[in-house]
Amino acid sequence: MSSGSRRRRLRAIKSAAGGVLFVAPAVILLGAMLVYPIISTIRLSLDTGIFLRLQKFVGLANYRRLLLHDPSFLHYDWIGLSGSLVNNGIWLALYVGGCLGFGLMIAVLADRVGYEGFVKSVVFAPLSIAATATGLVWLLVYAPNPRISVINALLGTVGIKPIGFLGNAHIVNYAVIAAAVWSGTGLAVVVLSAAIKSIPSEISEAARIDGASGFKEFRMVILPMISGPVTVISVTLAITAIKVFDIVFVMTRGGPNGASSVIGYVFYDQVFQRGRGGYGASAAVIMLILVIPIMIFSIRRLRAEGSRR
Amino acid sequence: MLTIFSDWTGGDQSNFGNVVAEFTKETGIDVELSGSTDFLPVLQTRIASGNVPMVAIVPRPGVIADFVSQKLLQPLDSLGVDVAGNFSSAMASLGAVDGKNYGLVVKANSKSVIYYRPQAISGAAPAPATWDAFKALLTQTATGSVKPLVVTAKDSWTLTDWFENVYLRTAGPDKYQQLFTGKLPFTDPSVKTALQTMLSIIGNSAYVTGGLQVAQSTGYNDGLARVFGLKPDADFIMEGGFTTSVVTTSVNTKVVPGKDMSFFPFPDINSAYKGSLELGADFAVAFKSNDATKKFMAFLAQPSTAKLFAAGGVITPNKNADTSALPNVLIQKESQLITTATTVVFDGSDQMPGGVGNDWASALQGIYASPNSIDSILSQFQASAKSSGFGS
Repeated sequence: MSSGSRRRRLRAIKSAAGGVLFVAPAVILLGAMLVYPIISTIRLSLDTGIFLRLQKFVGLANYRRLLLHDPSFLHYDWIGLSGSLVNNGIWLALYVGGCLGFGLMIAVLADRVGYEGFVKSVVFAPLSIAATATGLVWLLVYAPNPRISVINALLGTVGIKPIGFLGNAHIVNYAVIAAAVWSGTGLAVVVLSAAIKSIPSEISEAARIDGASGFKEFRMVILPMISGPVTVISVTLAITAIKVFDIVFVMTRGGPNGASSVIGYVFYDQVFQRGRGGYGASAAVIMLILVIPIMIFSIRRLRAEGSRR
Repeated sequence: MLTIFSDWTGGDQSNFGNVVAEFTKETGIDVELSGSTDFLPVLQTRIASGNVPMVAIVPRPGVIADFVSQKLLQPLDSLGVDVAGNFSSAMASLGAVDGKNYGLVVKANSKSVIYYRPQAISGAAPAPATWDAFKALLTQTATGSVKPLVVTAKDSWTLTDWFENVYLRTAGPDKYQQLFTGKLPFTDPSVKTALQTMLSIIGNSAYVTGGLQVAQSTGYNDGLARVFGLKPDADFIMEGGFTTSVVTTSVNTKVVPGKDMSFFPFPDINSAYKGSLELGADFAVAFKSNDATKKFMAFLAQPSTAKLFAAGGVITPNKNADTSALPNVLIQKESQLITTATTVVFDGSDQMPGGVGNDWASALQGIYASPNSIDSILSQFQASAKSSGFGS
C-alpha cells in the first residue's frame, strides 16, 4: 500500500470521526428527549400501565377500547359524531380557520391604514399572555354573573338574560375556541403582514393599472404571493389545535359532562387522575398519529420550496 | 428527614405546618412538607418516579383502595398506631380496605350543611326540618328577580354532594352504602327517585340563582362569592364544612362566621332517616415503614395533636380530643353535628374508585342539563362503571 492511499484513508476516517462528533450532541439529545420517550409511550400504550408502570401486556386492547367502546372519546350514532376526538376536529377547523381568517383580514386591512403599528401591537399583545392566564381571563369574560362578565353585562343592557357559556354542552367548545382564537390571531397577523409587505410594489401597481379592484387584487395577487407563509401558519396552528390542553384544563376541565374534552385532556385525566397509564398513553399515541401527516406535509412543502430556489 | 405530601393548601396547609412544627420540636425529626390541591397528578408522578413521600394526606378512601391494590401502603397496625384507643370504630373503619386499616382520619367535615347569609333573613334563624319547609323558605326569600339558592354545577363534585345528601334521606343509609360500594346498580329505581327529588329544588329555576343555565356554568368559588362576596346577590349555598374556611380565607376576609355567615343542617326528607349526616374526611396514609413515619403516624393519633388541629379550625374526630379550642361558632356547631348524628355515612363518590367517581360526577352534570335523559344516562354510567370493574 502506498503511503498516499494510507494518508487518504486516514483523512477519510478523521473526517468521518469529525462528522460523528458533530452530530453526536444532536443525536444524543434527540434520542434522549424525543425518540426514547416516544418508544416508551408506545410501549406503555400496549400495557395496563397502572400508576405509569409496566404491569401487564394487553396488546391493542387500549386502542380498541378508546376507539370503539369509549363514547367520551369517540361516539357516533344517527344523531351524529361526538367525543374528544371530534372536539379536536372542531378545534382544527375553527381554531385554524379563525386565527387565519382574522389574521389575514387584519393584516390586509392594517396594511392600508396609517396607525398600522398600533393595530398590530394590540392584536399581538394577547400572544404574550400564557394560555393558562388567557383561560383565567376568559373565565371572567364568560362568567354567568353579569357583575363579573363583560359579555353578560352587555347582554343585560339589551335585556338578554345571562348566558352560561361554559356550562352549556352546545356552546362550550365554541366559547373556549373563541378565547384561543383571541390569543392566537396575533401570530398570524404578524407573519402574514410581513409577507404582504414583501410583495414587490410593482406587482400590486401593475395589477391596479390592469384594473384590479381591491378584492380582486387580494384574491389574484396578494393571496398567491403569500401562500407560503399561510401554509406555515396553518401547519403551526393545526398542530396546536391537535395538542391543545392548557386552556381547556383551566376553563372547563373538559366539562360539562365531557362536552369540551379533547385528546390532551383525556390523556391527562386517564394518566394523572385515574392512574391508567396505558390507556392515557394510547390517547397520546393517537395524538401523535394525527400530527404525523401534518408534519409530513410541511416537510414536503419545505423541501419543494428549497429545491425551487 | 420525614417527607409529607398533603392535599391541603392555604389556611389548612399553614395550620398543618404548626402541627408538624410541634412534631419536630418533640422528636427532633426534620420534616419536608409539600402540598397541592391537585394531589392525584402529583402523587401519581411521584410514585411512578420512585420519589414517594413517606406520608401523604389524601381525601378519598377510593384512592386509598387504589393505592392498597398496588401494594403501596403500610397498614396502621404494623406502624404501631393506636387507632382503637383514639377513634370510634365507625371513624376507624372509614380508612379501612378489606378490613385492614390504612388511613387515619385527621380531618372530618360534615357534608350536610346549607350555608346562608343571615342578613337576607328577617326574623328567627331558619332551620327547615323538611324538604317542603326548605322549599317554602326559598320561596319566601326569593325577592326580586335574582333567586336565592346558588347551585355550582360547573364543579361537578358539588352535584355529587347534593345527590348523596338526597339519596341518604330518601333511600336510607343501607342502600346508600350498597350503591356506592357497587352492590346496588345505579339503574335501581331509588336512584331515579332521589334524582327527581333533588331536581325538584336545584333543577327548579324558581329557586336557583340566575336560573339553571347560570347554575351550570357557576363554579364553587364563584358561587360562594355570590352569597358571601363583597356584593352578595344570593342567599343560600350547600356544601361541606370546609366552606367556612374557604370563604374567610379566599372569598371575603371580612366575613365573620356566625354573624355574616351561618348554616343549618340539610333538611330531612323521609322521616324514617331523620338525623342522617354525610361526612367527608382527609386521611393520613403511610407509604414507608421507617422510624420517622411510625413516630409521625402515632403523633397524629394523639389527643394532644387533635387539640393542635382544633386551634386551627380543623375537626379531628379523636374521641379523646378537647374540642373547646375550635376557633369559631360555626365550626363548633359543625363538630357538635358530627358527634351527635344518629346515622353517619361517608361521601359516596369519594368511596368509589377514582375514575368511577369522576364519571359519576360527570354523569350528574349530564342529568342536570337534561333531566329527561335520566334513564339513559344512568344505564350508560352503570355500563361504564361495570367495565371499570365497579359493581356487578
